Amino acid sequence: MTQMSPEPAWTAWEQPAPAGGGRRKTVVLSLAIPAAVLTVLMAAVIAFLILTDPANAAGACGGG
Amino acid sequence: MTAPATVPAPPPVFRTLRRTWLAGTILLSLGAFAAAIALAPAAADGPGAALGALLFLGSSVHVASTAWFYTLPEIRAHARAHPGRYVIAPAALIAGTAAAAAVVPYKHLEWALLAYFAWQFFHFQKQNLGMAALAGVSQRSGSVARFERLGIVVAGVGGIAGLISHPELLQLGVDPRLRFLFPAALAVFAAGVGIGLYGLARRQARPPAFVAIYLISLLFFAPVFAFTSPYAAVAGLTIAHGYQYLLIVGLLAGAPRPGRRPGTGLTIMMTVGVLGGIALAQAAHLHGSPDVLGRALYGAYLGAVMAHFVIDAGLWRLRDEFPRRFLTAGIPYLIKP
Repeated sequence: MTQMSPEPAWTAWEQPAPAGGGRRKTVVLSLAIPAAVLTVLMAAVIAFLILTDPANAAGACGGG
Repeated sequence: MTAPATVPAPPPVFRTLRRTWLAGTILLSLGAFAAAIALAPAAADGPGAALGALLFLGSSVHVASTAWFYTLPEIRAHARAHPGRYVIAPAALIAGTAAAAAVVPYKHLEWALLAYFAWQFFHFQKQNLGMAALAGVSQRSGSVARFERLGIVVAGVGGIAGLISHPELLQLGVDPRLRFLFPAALAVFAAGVGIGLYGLARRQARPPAFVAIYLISLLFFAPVFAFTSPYAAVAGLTIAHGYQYLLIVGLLAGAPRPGRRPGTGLTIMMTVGVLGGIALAQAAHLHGSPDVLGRALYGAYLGAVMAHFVIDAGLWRLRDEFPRRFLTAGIPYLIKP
């Protein structure tokens, strides 16, 4: 039996980083976009919790 | 016959991610129980902002994050090939419970909620088994063995029976008059714990992180028998289950994918989870709504949670080829360490 290729599951984990000037831009975008989205999400969660508490108390099982 | 090529060594990040999952699962689970017990309000009070926020993330956000799976092309292809579990059943559950909640008064619907909660806690117990199995496999100590598995199942059955016979803990206004079964449920739970400990004692290698996650899974329902406050007894289970799920789905979402920037998957998953969670949490409070649409939305919320049970029961079943392949690609450091 011949095993010609590495474990397929690992190949996605070994993607080469973009070379040269593109790398810096890629890294910045990789961090900035998720950070911006997460900030908006956190703001949404905090606003949601402030607006709904205590009128809508969460149930212990997760429902309302 | 050609000599097999050398299997490449796993990337160093695998070790870090495996430890992150092991430590995260232990800390999030224990932290959830501790927070719920510490923040549990007096009998008739609401949970307060802190416990409410923990419950929001552990309940609504974790359920909604299941929708993230459908953003992946391979999951959509699998769903098209298996529409019964991944398309028809979820749609039917949401539509059916929306219609039922719209026409059935809540005081009658509460009886059906007993079965709904039994299914919810059965779903918790299945995840407990999965967590313990992954903890063993990821540390090359083997999956849960027969008595270890039996212990978790029996303890879970005892815990579910304890909750159904004590519906005040579920904050339901119905009385199935099964209170006399509560001591029997405790005995079943204790028997399960005994069987599980026996199984654990028979295991040859017991890495500390496996033992911790196994004991968390085995004793998961212990607060049900220790507290009379619904929040101290049940909220910890809800939060621990949800955070365990968010951690492992977050690791899956954060796994590198060809053609995607790092962080994109996790960002999409959290966006889906938070926005969907807000919608679910809003709908969850509409059971007393005077208008039909409000009650239908409440029913749809129940259906969406049950759809989460159905979808998860398929996507995490490692004995099936697709879940095994999908999970091995995303979290290989847990499935094939």
